[in-house]
Amino acid sequence: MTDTRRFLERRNPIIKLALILILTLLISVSVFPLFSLSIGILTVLLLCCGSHYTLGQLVKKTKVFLLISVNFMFFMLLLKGIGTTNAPYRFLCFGWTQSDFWTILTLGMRILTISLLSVAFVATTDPNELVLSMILQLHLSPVHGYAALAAYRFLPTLQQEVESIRLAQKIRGIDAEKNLISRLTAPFSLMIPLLCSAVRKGERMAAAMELRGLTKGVQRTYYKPTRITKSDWLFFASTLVVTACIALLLQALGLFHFSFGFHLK
Amino acid sequence: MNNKQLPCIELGHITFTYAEETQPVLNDLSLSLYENCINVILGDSGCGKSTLLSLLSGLIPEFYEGTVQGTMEYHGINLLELPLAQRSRYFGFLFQNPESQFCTFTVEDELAFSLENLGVPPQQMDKTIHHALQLVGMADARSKRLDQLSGGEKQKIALASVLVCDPPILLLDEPTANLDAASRAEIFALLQTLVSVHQKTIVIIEHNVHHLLPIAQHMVLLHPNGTLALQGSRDTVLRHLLYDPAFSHLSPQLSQAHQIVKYWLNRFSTLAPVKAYCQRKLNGEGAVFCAEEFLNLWKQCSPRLPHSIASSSTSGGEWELRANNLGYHYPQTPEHPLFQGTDFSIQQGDFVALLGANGTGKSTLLKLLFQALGPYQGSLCLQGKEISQWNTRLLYRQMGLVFQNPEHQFVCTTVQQELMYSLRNSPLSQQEKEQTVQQYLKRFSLLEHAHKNPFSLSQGQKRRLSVAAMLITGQNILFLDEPDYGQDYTNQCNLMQELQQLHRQGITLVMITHNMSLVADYANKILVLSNQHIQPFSCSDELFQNAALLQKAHLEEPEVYAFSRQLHTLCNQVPLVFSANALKQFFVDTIAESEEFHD
Repeated sequence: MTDTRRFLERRNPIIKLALILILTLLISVSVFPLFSLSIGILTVLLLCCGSHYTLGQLVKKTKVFLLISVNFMFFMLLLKGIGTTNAPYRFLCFGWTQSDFWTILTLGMRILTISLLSVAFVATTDPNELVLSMILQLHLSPVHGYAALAAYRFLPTLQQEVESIRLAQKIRGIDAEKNLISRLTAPFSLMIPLLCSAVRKGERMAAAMELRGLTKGVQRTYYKPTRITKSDWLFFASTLVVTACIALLLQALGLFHFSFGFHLK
Repeated sequence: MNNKQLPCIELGHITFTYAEETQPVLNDLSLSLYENCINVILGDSGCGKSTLLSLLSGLIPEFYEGTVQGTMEYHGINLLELPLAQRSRYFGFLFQNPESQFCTFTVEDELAFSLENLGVPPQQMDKTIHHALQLVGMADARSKRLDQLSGGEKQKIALASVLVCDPPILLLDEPTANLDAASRAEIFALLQTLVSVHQKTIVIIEHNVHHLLPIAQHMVLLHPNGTLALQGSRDTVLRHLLYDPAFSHLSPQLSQAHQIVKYWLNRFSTLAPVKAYCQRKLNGEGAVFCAEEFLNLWKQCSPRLPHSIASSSTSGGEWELRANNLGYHYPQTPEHPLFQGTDFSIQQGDFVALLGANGTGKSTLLKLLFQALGPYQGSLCLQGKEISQWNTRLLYRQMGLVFQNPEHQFVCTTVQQELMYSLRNSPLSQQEKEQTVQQYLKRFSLLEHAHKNPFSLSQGQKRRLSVAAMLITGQNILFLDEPDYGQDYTNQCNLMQELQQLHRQGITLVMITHNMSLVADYANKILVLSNQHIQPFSCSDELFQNAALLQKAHLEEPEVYAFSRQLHTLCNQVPLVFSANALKQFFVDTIAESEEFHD
C-alpha cells in the first residue's frame, strides 16, 4: 500500500508536539505582535503546502479562534481605555497610549497563533500514531496510551449522547423551567444520565481491551511502529533555525524582545 | 448435534455472587459446552447469561469482582486459575455493540491491535490480517476508517478482530441486536461457516433466534434464578420446551412458529389428543416439530372455523398530524436531503409503525416534530398549526417521546420521584398527585420498586418507567423509539400489551422499529422511509405483499408468514397472515369455540 500522506502528515507526532510546545513558549513570552504573526504565517504556509489541508478548511476550523481573539482584543481595548488620563489617543471617555495598542495586539496575536499551531497539529496527526509514538518514544504504558485513545474515540458519541439527553429532558419540561433554582440544577440533571452512560461505556471498553489481551505488563509488538527519522530531526532543527532567524531579524529592527509581563517596557 | 462432538468446557457446581451482592447470579450450575458446534444460551433477562459468558472469558472475577465456587475446565485446563490475559488465547469475545470494542480508528489498525497484544511478530501480521478479513468477507475494507462502515460491516470487523488471533472458542453476546435483517442473516451464515469450515466452537446469547435455531446444535436454558433448567442437543431442549408440561412456564425467545405452537399446546393441554401428541413427541417420535402433524392434531380437536378473521381498522379521530411537501436537509449537507416533497398524515387513535433502513431519517423526523431541528421546507402541522409555531411547553404536553435508551429521560433518584416530577406543573393537589403516582406505579408493575433508583432497574423496568413518566402527564400522542430494544420475549410481550391497552384508551402511538412481527401484530398504519420519501400503508398486509419495496427499504416479511404459508398450503382453512397474534388467535378461537372443548 502506498503512503499518500504529505510531508507534515508523515512527521513524528512527538517532534511536532515538541515544536509546538517550544513555539508556544516563545510566543507567550514575546513582546510585539510581529513575531507571533510571522510564526502564524509560517504555520499556514507549511500546513497548506505540506498536508492535504486546504486554506478553506483552515479558515473554517480557525474562525472560532479568530472570533475569540478579536473579541478579546476589543474588550481589552475597552478595559485599557477606562480611566487613562492624558492619553494621546482619545475616543469618548476612553483614552489609550501607543503601548496599549501594541500590548492588545500582541495578546490577540498570541491567542490566534497558538490556536493555529494546535489546529495544524490536530489536522496533520493521526491519533493512533500519536499514541504509538507516546508509547514508543516517550515510554508511556500501552494501557494508559490506549485508554486515552479510547476516550478520544468516545468524544463524538458522548456529544450525541448529550444532545439526546438534552432533548429527552426538554420534552419532560426541564429546559422550560423559569425559576432560578431549576435553572441552576439543570446541568446536574444532564450530568447524571451522561455520567451513568459514560461510566458504562468506559467499563465496557476497558473490559474489551483486557479481553483482547491489553493488560498491565503485556509484552506488545507493533505493526507500524513510529520512529523519529532523520527527516524528523531535520524538520525540527530547520524550524528552530527559521524561528531564531525571524526573532533575530525582528530584534534587529526593534520589533522583538522577551518579557514575562503583559506590558511593553 | 452429531456423535463426533465432544464436550470441551465443563462447569461443575458453579456459583457466582457479585461483590457487595447477597444473592448469587449463577447458582450451582453444572453444564457442558460442546466443541466445534454452536452452543446457544437461552433464558430471560437477568438469569445470568451474560455473567456466564463473562465467567468463561475471564472477565469474572478479574474485572467484575465477586465470589466464584465450583470448577470450570477447558480440555482439562482449570480456567479459574488461568489469568485473563492468557484466556484470550482460547476465547474471543464479541460484544453486542461493536463500538464497545473498537480501540482504534481504521480497520487495519483494529485488527493489528489484537495481534500486537499477543506479541505476534510484525512481519506475520500482514498475512494474518488479510486472512481474517477474507474470512468475514471484508478484504476490500482494509484501509477504511471504522466510522465509514455500516452497522453490519462494523460487526463483521469486530468479529474479524477477534478471529485474527485464531481463538478456538468464540463467545458472542447478542451480536445481531443492532443489525437490520440483511446484516443479521449474513452474520449467522458467517457463524455457520466458522463452525463447519474452520472448526470453531461458538457460545452465543441471542434474542433473534429465528435464523439461529436451524444452525444451533447444543442448547442451554437457564432459570430466572440462575440455575440450570435444561441442556442438551437442540432437538432435546426444544422437545422439552414445547411439549413438556414441566417447562410450560418458561418462555425463552423461540421462533414465532414455536411460540404459537407452545402457547396452543399449553392452552389446550387438557385435551386427550394434545396430551397424547405431547407424550409422543417427548418420547422422541418424529421430527421435533412438523407443521403437518400439528395441523392433524388441530383437526383432531374438532375446530369450529370462524367466518373470517377480524381485521383491524383505522380509527380516523378528530385531529391529525400532517406533513405536506415536507423537505429537510442538515445545514452541512444541503446536497443530501433526508426528505423531499413528502406527504403523510397520522390521525388521532392510530397505532403507527415508522420503518426504514438505518440513516433514512427516522430519528431526524422525530427531531423535526419535537422542534429539536429546523427549519424545514413545506408544512408539518399538528392539529392544524405548524409545528414550528407551537410553544414548546404546549407541544410537549401534546406529544411525548420514549427514547431508545430510557435512562436519558431520568432526572430523579427514585422511581416514585420520577413520576412525581412529571406532575410538578399539574394543577392537581398534592394528595391527588400522590394517588395518581400510586396508580401508575401499580399499572406499570413498578410498585415494589417505587423507592429504587431508576438507574438500578432492569431494562424492562426502565422501559416501563420511561413510558409511565411520559404518559402520566396526559399526552395524546406517544412516540416510541424501538420499544423492543434490549427486551426479552416476556418483557416485550408485557410492554406491547400495555401499549395496546393505551391505544384502546385513545392514545395515538407511533413506534420506530426494525421488528416486523411487532408491525404486523400491532400497527394499523405504516410509514416507510425510503429514498427521501415517506410512503404510507393503511395495513401491514399491503406493505408485506410489496416485495420490491421491502427489498428497497431493507425490510423483511415477518417471520410468521413463512409458517402461515406452510400451514395454508397444507390446509387452506388456515389463513395466510403476517401477524403472529392473528395466527395464534385463529388456532385458539377455533378450538375454544368447539363443542368438544366445552364438553
